[in-house]
Amino acid sequence: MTTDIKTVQLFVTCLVDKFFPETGLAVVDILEELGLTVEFPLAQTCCGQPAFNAGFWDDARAMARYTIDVLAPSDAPIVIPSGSCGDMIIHHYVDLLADDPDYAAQARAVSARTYEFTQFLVDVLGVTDLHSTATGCIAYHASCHGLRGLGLKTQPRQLLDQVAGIEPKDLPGSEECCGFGGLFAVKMSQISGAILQRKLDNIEASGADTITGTDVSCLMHIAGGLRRRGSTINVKHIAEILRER
Amino acid sequence: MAVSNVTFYERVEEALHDRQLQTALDISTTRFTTGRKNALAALPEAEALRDHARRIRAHTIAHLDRYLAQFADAVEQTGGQVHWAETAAEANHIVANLALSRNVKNVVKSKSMVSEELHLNQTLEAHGMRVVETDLGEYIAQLAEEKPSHIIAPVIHKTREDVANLFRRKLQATDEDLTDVPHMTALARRVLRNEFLQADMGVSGCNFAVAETGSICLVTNEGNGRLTTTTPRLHVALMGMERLVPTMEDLGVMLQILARSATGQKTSVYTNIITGPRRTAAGQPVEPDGPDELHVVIIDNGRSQILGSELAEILYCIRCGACLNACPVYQQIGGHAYNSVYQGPVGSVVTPGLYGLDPWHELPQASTLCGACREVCPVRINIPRMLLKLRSEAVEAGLNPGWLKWSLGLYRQAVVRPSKYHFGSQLTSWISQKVADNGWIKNLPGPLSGWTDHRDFPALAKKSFSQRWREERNQ
Amino acid sequence: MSQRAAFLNRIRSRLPQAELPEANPNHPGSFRGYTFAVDTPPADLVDRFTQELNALSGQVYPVKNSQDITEIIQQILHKHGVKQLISWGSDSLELHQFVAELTAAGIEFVANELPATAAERKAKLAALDKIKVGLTGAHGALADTGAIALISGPGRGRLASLLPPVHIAILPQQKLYPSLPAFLAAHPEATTAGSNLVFIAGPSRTGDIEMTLTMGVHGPGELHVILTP
Repeated sequence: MTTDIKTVQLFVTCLVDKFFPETGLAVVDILEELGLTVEFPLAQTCCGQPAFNAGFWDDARAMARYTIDVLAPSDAPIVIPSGSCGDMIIHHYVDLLADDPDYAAQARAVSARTYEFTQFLVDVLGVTDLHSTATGCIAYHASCHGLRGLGLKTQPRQLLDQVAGIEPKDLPGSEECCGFGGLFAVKMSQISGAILQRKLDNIEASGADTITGTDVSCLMHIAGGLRRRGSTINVKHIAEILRER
Repeated sequence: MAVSNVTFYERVEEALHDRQLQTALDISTTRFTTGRKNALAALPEAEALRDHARRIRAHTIAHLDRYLAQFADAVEQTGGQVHWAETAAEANHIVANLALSRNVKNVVKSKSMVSEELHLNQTLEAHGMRVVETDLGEYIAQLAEEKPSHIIAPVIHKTREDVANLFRRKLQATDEDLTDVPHMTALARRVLRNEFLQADMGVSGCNFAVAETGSICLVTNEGNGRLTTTTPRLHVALMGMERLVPTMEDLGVMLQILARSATGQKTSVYTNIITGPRRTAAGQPVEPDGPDELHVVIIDNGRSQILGSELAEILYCIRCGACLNACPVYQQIGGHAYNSVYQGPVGSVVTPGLYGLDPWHELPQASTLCGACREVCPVRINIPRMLLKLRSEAVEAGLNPGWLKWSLGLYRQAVVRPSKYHFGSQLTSWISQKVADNGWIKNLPGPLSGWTDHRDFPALAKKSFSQRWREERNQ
Repeated sequence: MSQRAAFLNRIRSRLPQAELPEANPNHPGSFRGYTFAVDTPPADLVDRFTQELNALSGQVYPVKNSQDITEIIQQILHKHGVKQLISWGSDSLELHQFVAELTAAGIEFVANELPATAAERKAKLAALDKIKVGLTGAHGALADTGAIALISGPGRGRLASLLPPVHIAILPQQKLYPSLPAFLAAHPEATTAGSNLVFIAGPSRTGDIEMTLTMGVHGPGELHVILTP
């Protein structure tokens, strides 16, 4: 580690908080093992992306202002185990609140110190080897907002490359959308379901026994699909693999 | 624009269950996306060229009035005539009048998307003219009385057998004519060649117009664009008002990326640049052929509405179709489900932009916001930004289902009050654990059942991350 | 107000509300860093052009003199069993002594002037449509795509490269350019010299039926480029 960062704030995301707490605990373990103090502002809830993507921008603004209020008191870098929520805070907060005299500057300040988890490890801390040891044939699904919104093209793969004991598998179409798209999966479920089937076919063809990625949202979608198919393929957030010893 | 009674959802359902369409979509979108990727990878300056192309388009649209005036002057200097049409009706009127005053009976057309916006064929046919599409795909669509389903490949939804049956029925094709695709193509060539020889007027679109020279550029692989603009004595070019580039050099930049983005070809077979009608001296033609008259119809038809809005960036589009091929939604539902001339991601912005969100508000919803469209767009149009903008306009216009507005409002109330939020989620967790089987739910109620129609849904964790943090860290 | 003025005024009234990312008041200029590759050795241009055109199913015939051209054209005419060509005027063809030689051998070079009246025009087109081979020169060619450039003008019609199923073009080697932008830079007059500038990259093709590649759908199904010194 070559930075003088001592403390980070964790914005764990609503999905990790309520559905996948293990992912959040893995992130904390990894950050603490790197010698960082992890702050977790307890008042945090949801970044507001579901409302934003559905077009309910007034609601999204209210949630954005709330989240900024939660995150603004500390000036520690903000780490998020999600490319999608990261994209929301880093890019869309700034646009949504651009004309808000009370929040525009704060939105920019929060945006400037917010990072997706793997981006923070690789680009900010300069760490790729976490001395992890895991097992299994692992394929990586690149979630869209991390990949195209934040440019997470190499960081997760660099981290996985350093994990001892795993056999990486190539996932055909790994950069193709899984069909989740937030409320799209509910509102246009038949299209979403069709896109998901293609992703699942590719996953089954990859020969992997574990699928990983940076976003529990897509992973939840994929896991739900695999489960419906009766597949035994595991689905894990990247932090859970990186934490294994 | 005509709106059918069949809903978007019904068309989607139909498309998803059409196995033939699914196969065709798989093959074509895979081939186009792979071709595009390889063609751009082989062009060392592709990324910088795309940036430059974007700057050219942005600058042109920002000064559209000036460049249109320059273009029109240049066309007139070369002996062509320019017509200005604010609406589809005006454009149809202009073309019909030109045709009637010159006693036109037979019309050949090369592919023009704007003409489909106008429903020009119906207008001319109503005046007793015979109108024939000459792009093979468009011709097949016309024979089948269907609409094209893809910008570049209009009948990708049809199999060879479909086309053979159609040719048998409409062209009295013999078994020999239908031996294989080359024979079928040869039959179409013979039939359409006669149309070209008999045509009194050729109607083309316009891939690009060049302001400095007054030129119209048409790219085709088949050569129908050249025949349409050469054999008839009258050529009418229909041009959406945004199809301009300032200079020939700019056109060169666009041509470097257009075919590569569209089909993965380095270039289309024919890049046809037309500057005026055939040249004359002292009233006598000095060129052996080409049309004696060239008319360019510049068409607004809702574009200025788009221009004066947050959707103006969509006017940078060069109509390559790359965003259709890359879109996971288009890959599943194909073009017809959009029920519009403009389909896929670009269509989901252009269609509501031209015709209004009502009844087109479903189109901007038909996206996962994955960003693949923006990634492949040769001029890097931020399509997801505009889809989001349209979604917010739909909310403002009250075009969303009531349950969504209600539940997001409730969600917002909870999110900004953590005690309510955590209490609500504890309650939900408890319920979800009760109904879940081994941590997963097979049937969600109400509108959420869409999720469980296709996949399981996880139960909420018994203890959330924040609860565990609080307990373990004594906070 | 004229239609034109109303049209342009409407645009002017909308532009202030237009959200146009990256729009600059100044034209972005030439593409900086563009590889014009003007120093590409001529032999490399020939190789690259040949390779690209072959990949598009076009044929390239390097020749030394007019006699070679005579032989190649005779071979092609013989293959198709015909003795007529729609042709550009001989002064627009390189090494055009072959025209006299072929004429003496009974080959007919047909010009394609279309009359001004509709009926005469259609009759002439119908007659020209029976001719199976077209012969043109070329004003340039692009090594990176295998395309040849033709500019219309007196004695240089569009139909010779368009109507017949076979197109033969005679291209002087020194008219090869690395790319389209290089050609346009060297020939700023190319667009305005005639009513038509066309780049032709191989035979006419379509993939509209089941994406099956098929040649010669509307334009020529064969393209032969004779490369002269």
